[in-house]
Amino acid sequence: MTTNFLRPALAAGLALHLATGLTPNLAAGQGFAAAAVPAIGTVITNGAFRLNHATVRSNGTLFEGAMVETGTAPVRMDLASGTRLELESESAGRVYGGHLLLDRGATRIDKAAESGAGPGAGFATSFLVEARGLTIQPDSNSSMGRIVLNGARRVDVAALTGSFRILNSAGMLVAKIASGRALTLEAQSTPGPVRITGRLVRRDGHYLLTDDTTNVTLELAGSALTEPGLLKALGRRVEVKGSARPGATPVDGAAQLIEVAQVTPAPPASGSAPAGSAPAGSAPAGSGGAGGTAPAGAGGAGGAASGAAVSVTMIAIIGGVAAAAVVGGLAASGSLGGSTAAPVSR
Amino acid sequence: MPRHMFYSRLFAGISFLGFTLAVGGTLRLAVAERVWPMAIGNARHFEDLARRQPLLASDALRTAVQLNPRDSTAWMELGLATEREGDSEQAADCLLAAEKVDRQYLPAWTSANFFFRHANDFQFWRAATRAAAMSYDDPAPLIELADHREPDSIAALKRLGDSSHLERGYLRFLIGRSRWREAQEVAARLSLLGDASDRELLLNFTDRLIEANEGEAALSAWNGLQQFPAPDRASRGTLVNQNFKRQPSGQGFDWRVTEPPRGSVHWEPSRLEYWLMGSTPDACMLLEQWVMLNSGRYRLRFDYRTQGLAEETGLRWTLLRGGREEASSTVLAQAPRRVQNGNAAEWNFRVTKVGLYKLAWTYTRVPGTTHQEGHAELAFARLEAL
Repeated sequence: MTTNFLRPALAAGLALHLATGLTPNLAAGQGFAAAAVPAIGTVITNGAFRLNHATVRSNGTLFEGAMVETGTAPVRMDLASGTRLELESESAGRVYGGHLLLDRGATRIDKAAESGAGPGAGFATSFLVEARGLTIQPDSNSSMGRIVLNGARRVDVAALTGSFRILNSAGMLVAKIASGRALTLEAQSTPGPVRITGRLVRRDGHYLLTDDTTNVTLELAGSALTEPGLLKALGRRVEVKGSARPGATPVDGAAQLIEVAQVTPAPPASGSAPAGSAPAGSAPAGSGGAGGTAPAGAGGAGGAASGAAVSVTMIAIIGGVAAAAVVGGLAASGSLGGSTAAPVSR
Repeated sequence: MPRHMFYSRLFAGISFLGFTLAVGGTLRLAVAERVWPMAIGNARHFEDLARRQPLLASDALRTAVQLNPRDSTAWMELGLATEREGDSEQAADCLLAAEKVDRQYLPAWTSANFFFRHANDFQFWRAATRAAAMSYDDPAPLIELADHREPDSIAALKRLGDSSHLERGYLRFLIGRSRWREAQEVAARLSLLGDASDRELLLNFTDRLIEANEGEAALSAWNGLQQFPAPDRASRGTLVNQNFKRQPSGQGFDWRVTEPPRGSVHWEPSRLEYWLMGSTPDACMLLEQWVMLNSGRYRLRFDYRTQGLAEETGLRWTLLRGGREEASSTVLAQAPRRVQNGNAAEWNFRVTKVGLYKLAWTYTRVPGTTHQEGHAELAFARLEAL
């Protein structure tokens, strides 16, 4: 009886409490009031933009799944989670509390706050950007990066500070981009073979190779590894062709188990870097576009950094995604997925 | 000096002085406009600085509002910057100050957004109402905010100030979210205004209701168009524009005419003529009309004429519901001349379920016959409940 009386009284008290705004601000970041406000952030520009296909001037409020399109002026988005993004001019994307689906143009992550469980993962993850089937995930909330949709199929990712991980549509790690580096990526229409280049090492009986371009470590297996003379290749830079072994669990520290078809010696890394040092051909070359701070891989919002006269292009194909560190070389090679480009060290 | 000389010189002097002052003022404004980014003492310099260096934004904007307390842009930007820093109280003060010095749309819109985010209902509705009164653009973003606070669209409209501009915006907003019942209420209010510029929006609403299979609501929306120079009323079991006296509009419950591929169609009062070519596809839609039907028996009476088509013309009537054929007439026979009124052709059919149906006149080549160039004419089509 007492309980029956107390319950509505408590409910009424709580409702009054919420209605009068006495609830403390629990939300992080901008401190939006917690009382059933579905807003996920604010969007600000020095001009006009389109929010859910309506023209808005100066600023607006973002809701889950809001479509934001910019014109000549970029917009800054401050999310309640603490994430800060810039959607560059002539760009479009759909914004959610935990991720941005980039449809057109370019975006810059200035701060990527934790935003709950990530897709397919049961752990808290920072803000993600999804573009053309790839997921770009900052490694920490201090990671700053720029993501550009380049041409019809490519995605350029530049890590300005902190590092980024790139996952394919199946959630598999296909590249890690260290601070100051940039990659151009292109999801292949079919998964296809794996092509990686790096120093071959053996650890606890497992063959491992960290790809120079993508910085991803893969475990190697298969009869090609038992060929005589392979021992000579240990510790040296090699090029490996093969295919992913489906359903296999790789050793700790490796992203995938590769069934090796061919191992061939690879030329020394460009710039004569010793094996095991900084990835070849991945040094930043020149500045980026609108952001003014992006490494070469990020290029301008429009496309490749044609001025980067780099002759060697490092192309890796992992998890159905081709990655290249040098955009100028890519332009020369014609296609990330192609197999005929002359100076490519595959 | 003669008096008239004195006055003419005085007038010339005053004119020269006025002209000099005007030129000086204009030049001063022009120079001020050009050099503001370089002038450290100018409020706009600090606004510009705040935009270029977000980390220094608050300090720069504070200086800007000190230099020019009537600069609403600086107040707004300072409000948003302090909100970002988590000081919502000071942010509110800044945004209210912006509204005070600038009674236009942007400060009110900015405040409405801020108070929405901070769940301050009183201030939100005050600012939103003010913004709504001054909004000439698409009011959808403002309506979206209001809708989150007050899901009852009519109540929200009342709180926002009840203008036809808002009603139109609200109707589009509700149509976009398939909230048909509420959209119907707003459409009814808009219909009553009888503004001819709303006709297309209301017709489009009727079509959307038909697409959503909301037959009853569609009928009511269509009949609401009677405020405008409008087509016939629609009701259950009757066809609209039965005698083709008006050119079929292709909207709502009126006839929708389809030109046969590689053929043509021509309307003139009380007659619709089709030309089918030898290359016309084996099956094509010619004419259709949506109609609400109760369960029961119906008779379609129609007058048609064909010329040049095969004996079995391939023309027939079909009743469709949800894209599925519910009933179909036999293939119409060749009819070289129109029959006298009262002796029209007819097709009887039965409807088992109440709802929205599509009555269609189609051409399907009868197997065994060849394509023939020909002409088909329809003079009237009338539906009767039996």
